[in-house]
Amino acid sequence: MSQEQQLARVFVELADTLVADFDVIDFLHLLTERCVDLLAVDAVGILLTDQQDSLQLVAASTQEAKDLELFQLQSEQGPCLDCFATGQPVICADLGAHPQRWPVFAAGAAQAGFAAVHALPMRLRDQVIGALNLFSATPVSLDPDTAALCQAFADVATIGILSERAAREKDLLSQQLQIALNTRIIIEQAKGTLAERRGLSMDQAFVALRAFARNSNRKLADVALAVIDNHSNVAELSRPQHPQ
Amino acid sequence: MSGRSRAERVWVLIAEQAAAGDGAVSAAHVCGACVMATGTDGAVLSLAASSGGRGVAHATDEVAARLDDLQFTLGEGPCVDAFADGGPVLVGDVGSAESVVRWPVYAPAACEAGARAVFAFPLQVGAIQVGTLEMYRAAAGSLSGEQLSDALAFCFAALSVVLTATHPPPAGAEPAQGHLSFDGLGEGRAQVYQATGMVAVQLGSGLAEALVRLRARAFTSGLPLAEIARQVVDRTLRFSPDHTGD
Repeated sequence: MSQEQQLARVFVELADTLVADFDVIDFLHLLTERCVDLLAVDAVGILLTDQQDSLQLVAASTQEAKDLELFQLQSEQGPCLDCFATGQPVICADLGAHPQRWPVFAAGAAQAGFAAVHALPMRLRDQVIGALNLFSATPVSLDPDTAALCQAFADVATIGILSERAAREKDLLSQQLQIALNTRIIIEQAKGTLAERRGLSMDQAFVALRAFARNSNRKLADVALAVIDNHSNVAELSRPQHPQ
Repeated sequence: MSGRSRAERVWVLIAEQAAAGDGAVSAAHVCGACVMATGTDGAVLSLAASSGGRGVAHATDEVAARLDDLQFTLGEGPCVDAFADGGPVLVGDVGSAESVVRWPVYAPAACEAGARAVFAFPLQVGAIQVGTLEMYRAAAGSLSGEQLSDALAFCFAALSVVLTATHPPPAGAEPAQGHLSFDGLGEGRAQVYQATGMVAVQLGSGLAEALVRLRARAFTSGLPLAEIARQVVDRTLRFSPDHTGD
């Protein structure tokens, strides 16, 4: 399959989920994974404004603690914060060559094994709601076509969060953002619950949650809540299968 | 303004309210400080459990109390929606056609009670939901960006006060001001939320109690909540129902 065909497929896949009552967190996770597949980068995260003073991670293509830390660290300093403030893409093709630019972030990136970073603004008209963050293990400069594609993914992520009505009304936007942020927290709480109940790592717990949600055709957040409440309708998920 | 300094400023405002009494922070102090910071006319902190139980922790005035009572009686309104949807419901004009369509009985009654703008926030951390914080104004109009940011910060303060009041920490872990610090709430750290889930299973309790125990441990050990959470997730720290090792 040519790259164009792959791309078309992915956009159809993403658009397909943009129906009423869709699962926003699952959508954002899917989008980060497709970015990794198609943009030849190594880790992708989506950060949203919490409408106070920080950017917070809401979905990432990786569950590695060191990578998550790198996303979370950017609430204080880094390309995403700059991107969010200016509404413009922020690119550093070789972090090692520019250690002064964001000293704390650059150190964290080096430790996590990343050499290049791209931050694309998630914006609709004059409103910037967050940033799409791409990491590469090797220094890389994106060609204009790929850079435009990265921005297209950021735009799709933005659309996923805003409905057309919300774009017109600031107050509804506030609600959408806070709901998305809180939903992510529910999922993290469920990961911890499941990890402890079944002796899993956080990564394994997330994979199990997502697989169960897909197989039972339920929203990730709903499954997460059921796990937290130890509901019988997620019994298979909460308890390991016993050999008969 | 950084997130941390906003949180500090909010606590200073709350503490100033509490200083008039014995210094112990209560829902009344949170509401009073919130009204001043957000430029609203009144506020009500309402407690609600997912089990259905509810009560009013504090209302600053009769209009606020009436707004809360209306929603409880009618089962409709911005707080009802905020709690159900898990996000703030900000109504610049509760007398608008849109509001009347949305809340046919509540909207006119709210206007009659003296409120035109109503801002309702769920008090929550993920699946932990303890109630709502609602502010009103006699005049229509939206919260400014700064006022919204402050309101969200006050939500964390309210959450902290309610959690400590409804799930008292173990003896010896209660700080002098009667509430555990702001530390850790609203920072977006995955490990804090994950640890909450893990500790709930270890205790055989709900998430709220687990979070309170984690915060109490942070307080007694003098470590940030994020650090305690990391130890839990790394499985070097466990909790037990009978407080051994706490």
